[in-house]
Amino acid sequence: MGLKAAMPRLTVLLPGIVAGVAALVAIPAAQARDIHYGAVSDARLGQCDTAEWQGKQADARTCYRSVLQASPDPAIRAEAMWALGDLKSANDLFKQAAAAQPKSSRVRARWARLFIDTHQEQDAMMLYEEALELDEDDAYAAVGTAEVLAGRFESKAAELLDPIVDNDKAPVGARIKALLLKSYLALENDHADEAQKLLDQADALAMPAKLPQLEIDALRAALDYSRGLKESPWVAHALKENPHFGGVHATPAYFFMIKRRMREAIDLYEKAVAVQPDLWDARVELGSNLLRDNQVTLAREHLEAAYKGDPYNPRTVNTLRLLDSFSNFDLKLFPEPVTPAAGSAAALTKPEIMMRLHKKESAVLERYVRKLAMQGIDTFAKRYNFKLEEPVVIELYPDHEDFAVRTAGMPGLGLLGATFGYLLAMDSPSSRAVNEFHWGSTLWHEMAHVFTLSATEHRVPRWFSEGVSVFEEWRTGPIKGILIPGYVFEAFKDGKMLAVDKLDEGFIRPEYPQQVMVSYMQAGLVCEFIDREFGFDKLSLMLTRYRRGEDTAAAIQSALGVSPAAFDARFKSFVNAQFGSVLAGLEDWKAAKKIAAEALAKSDWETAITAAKRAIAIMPQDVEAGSPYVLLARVYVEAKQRDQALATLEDYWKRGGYDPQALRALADRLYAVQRRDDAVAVMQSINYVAPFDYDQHGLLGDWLLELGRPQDALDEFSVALALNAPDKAGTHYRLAQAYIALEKPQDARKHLIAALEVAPGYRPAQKMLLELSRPN
Amino acid sequence: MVAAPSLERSVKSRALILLVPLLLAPLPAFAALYAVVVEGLGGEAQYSAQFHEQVEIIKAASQSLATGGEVRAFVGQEATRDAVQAHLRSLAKVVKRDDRVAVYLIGHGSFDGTEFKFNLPGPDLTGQDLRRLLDALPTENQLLVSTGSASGSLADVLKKESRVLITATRSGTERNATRFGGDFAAALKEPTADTDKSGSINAQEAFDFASRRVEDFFKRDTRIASEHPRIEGARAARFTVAQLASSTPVRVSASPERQKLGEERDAINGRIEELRLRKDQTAEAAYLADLEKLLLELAAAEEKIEALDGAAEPPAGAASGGGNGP
Repeated sequence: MGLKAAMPRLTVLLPGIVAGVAALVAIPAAQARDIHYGAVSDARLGQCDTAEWQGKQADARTCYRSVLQASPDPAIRAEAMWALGDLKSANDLFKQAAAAQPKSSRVRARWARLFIDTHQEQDAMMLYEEALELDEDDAYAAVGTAEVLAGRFESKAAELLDPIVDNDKAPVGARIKALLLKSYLALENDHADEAQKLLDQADALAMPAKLPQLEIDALRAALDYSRGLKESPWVAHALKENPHFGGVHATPAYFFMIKRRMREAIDLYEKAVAVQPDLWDARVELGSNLLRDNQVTLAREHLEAAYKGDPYNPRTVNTLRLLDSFSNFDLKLFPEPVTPAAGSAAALTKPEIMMRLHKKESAVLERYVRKLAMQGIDTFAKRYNFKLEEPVVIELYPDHEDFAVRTAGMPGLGLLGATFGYLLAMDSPSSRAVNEFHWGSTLWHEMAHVFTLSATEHRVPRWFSEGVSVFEEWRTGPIKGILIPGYVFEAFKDGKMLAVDKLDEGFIRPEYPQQVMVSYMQAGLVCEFIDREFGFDKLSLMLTRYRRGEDTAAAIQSALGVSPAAFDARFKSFVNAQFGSVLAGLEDWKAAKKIAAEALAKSDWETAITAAKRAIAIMPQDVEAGSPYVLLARVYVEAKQRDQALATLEDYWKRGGYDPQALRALADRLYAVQRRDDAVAVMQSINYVAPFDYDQHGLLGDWLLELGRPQDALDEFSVALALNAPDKAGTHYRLAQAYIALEKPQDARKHLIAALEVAPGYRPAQKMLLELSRPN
Repeated sequence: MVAAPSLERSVKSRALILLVPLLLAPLPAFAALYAVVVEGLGGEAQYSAQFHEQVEIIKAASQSLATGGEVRAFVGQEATRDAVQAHLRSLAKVVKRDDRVAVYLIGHGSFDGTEFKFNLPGPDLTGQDLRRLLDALPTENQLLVSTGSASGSLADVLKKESRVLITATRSGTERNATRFGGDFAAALKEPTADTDKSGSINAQEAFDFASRRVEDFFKRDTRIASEHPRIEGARAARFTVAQLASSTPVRVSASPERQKLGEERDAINGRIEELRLRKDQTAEAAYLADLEKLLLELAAAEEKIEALDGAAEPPAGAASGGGNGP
């Protein structure tokens, strides 16, 4: 594993090729070549392909070798090489073919497909573009382009397919491929009926053309499973046609995976690699999903096998590299499992949570993660009347890209956290700038997912799971109150809210840059609306309906007694009633913030105060970065109006503001005016944003000691020590003080000795040690 | 000859015992402190205000220590190159060998690749000016703190074993306005900066506190650090720069019994230091047991000393290293 440890995270291999000079790395083992549906028209090769697609692998290999010997055409020889697993030679031959046939779009389209097999989608895209420049009607190249776009979840993919599907003059094979891709996209969007229709169309074309039905069968199996069937006849149908066709399991597994139904996905991927051991992509997915199920050892076995077969899949390399780094993490269990004494009737106590935290920060984060996670388990179990059946695995990554690899196998993921069932992974607070995110809220959000996923056996749609998580952040999370960014309101104002039964698409295939966030907020508001208009129990009822297998339209109808259209109309009225003044005042709000900032820069306190107050009046929930509350408080401080500054910051905090500097100023002021309990509450809330400031923990510990809360103080001093606070003697002394208050003199003594080891002349510590050593 | 290495170890160990108290001891309490605090041009109102505030804090901290000597601040239009040079030249005539001189340059600096310049009204004070002025002082107990941009370039000009040199930047190429000065000034009033719990802040403690604050600032905002504070010279831990307000000055009893107790305390301190140096070679339980015994002896000695000192006349402003709470 040394090689992988030394390798950087891979995104794409060999970026930026120019057609004709493309480079391709050697892949030593066999890699399944695609079913090309007539994109290659060579009679001898066609015979080999037929044998291959029927699972007659030995015959097929013999056949491909004979083609290699007999065919003078480098494009055909490239196909044979590819089928035999020598991708480097295949690449060289395609290069020759492209040079020999400079006007051939098809050669470039096939070459592009080879690049997809080697995980070089960007390069494949460039070749497809070149092919389409040569022949804009090359339907195979157009479908290939759509395939790459679909892999990136880009909505443009579907647009490219319609003209091919409806074009009777297009090659039948290309039309079948387009129909398959369209049905694939329909299944991704839960449009089962549409998928069925498309698959029927594909079947009607494939049968008379005598083209393989394997992939149609695979999608039909996926469709059956999506409709709740446990078994699908199409599996046997496909395996009869080709007993080694792993895709019939791997394709439905993918649809389970994107619905976060990991365990069903794992079962199917296991079947896929059982019938086709060299289906490396399926093995990578199997390993990745086992990891999401915290089956680390087994996951590694599959990933290592995949690495041997296909060493250049960046997801495999990245994930194995991440697994290597697990030795840098502590695994903390809570409660610690207790093994009963031999002969005892007591059962083994299991932990409720398992925290995988980086060694460099586990001593700091553990207690806060534990506290919040346990609080979440308690809160959600009561609210949703569901008891978790397994420990929750919680992973925090100090490097965002490690989190991204953990989640998607690749860096560059724009998320803060992800939940896969009983396992959640997220950015550690150290992975981002201090006030960039409220990690406590993220953990709370993910904990809510654990419940919605588990309670529905992972059948909850993405939008509803996100909606409940956002709603719970607002209602029960560490920072309560509805927090919606200004640009989301702008999107609402522009009519960009989606119909409730289409809301999932806003997450899966966003059509504009901020649509995912807009969809999060809309989903949260939908849950808020259900709670207020229909009652909280209806949210639980919706989960029950999803568990039964109902889709959103049916769940809305059966749980709420309204049609989705009526629901949408009422929801719109609700949003207008709640936020009408915000929506109407967006321009004023922006202008007021601008005026306030400019006035502050000019020390024009009066104008700044008036404008900031105006901005707050329009959008009281504006507490994110650049909040007018913080600006107003700053102006009040400059204008020596300390009471107003305090009141403003307190309002900001209560509405969910979490800028650590602003909150620290609030805590200091509260302490100064003798509101020590409030000061402590504010300081404790900072821990869920910025937990790595040793001064903050030391001061909070001091305040807690003053308030007679030595156990809490002990926690804070311990964290200060774990953060390597430079005042070691002082920190140990304070720990000793806390232990004295807790009547634990032996622990106090240990810390006094530690304090005096650093500073032997430290009089308060000396006095306390003498005191402890005197006989009573 | 198996005995030789062990003999060698023994000799080294003894040398350490003798050396350690010497290294840890502050510079003689009777040594006068001459502090020179120079406020540079701010350029912008916010910097001018910050520099002025820092000068005031440093001035007050120095005054709390100045038993004899003088604290002189140059601010505003009075802070000229000529005035500062004249003052340092005059100090060269009055400062004695055991006295201490601390020079604080609070403001922006610049470096043109050859010469450091501290920005003042009129001609700037240069690194070469400072070298000449400091080299002319009869004492080697010198501290120079330069809190501004490009100040790291001074190290090339002023670095000297006996001279403590603290700069806000690593070199002359770090040219952005710095935040080190504010954190250094804050350290002079901050009990948690007093890591040895002596009741006072020495130059090393002030530097450690401020440089950590600077590092934390850039880390917190995941910015690329534009300044890397630097310290040179072996005596930083011996150069006291502030007496903490929370420590209570006491009159030291002059009785023979007090003197004996003082010697006893120093001896225990030496044994503690020796034990700490052997920590890695000692079993943990034995180490902790020995340490606790010595710490209790030391605490008992301190208690007796405190009783004697407490019985002496009320303090008249002199300060000793009394402890302070956190």
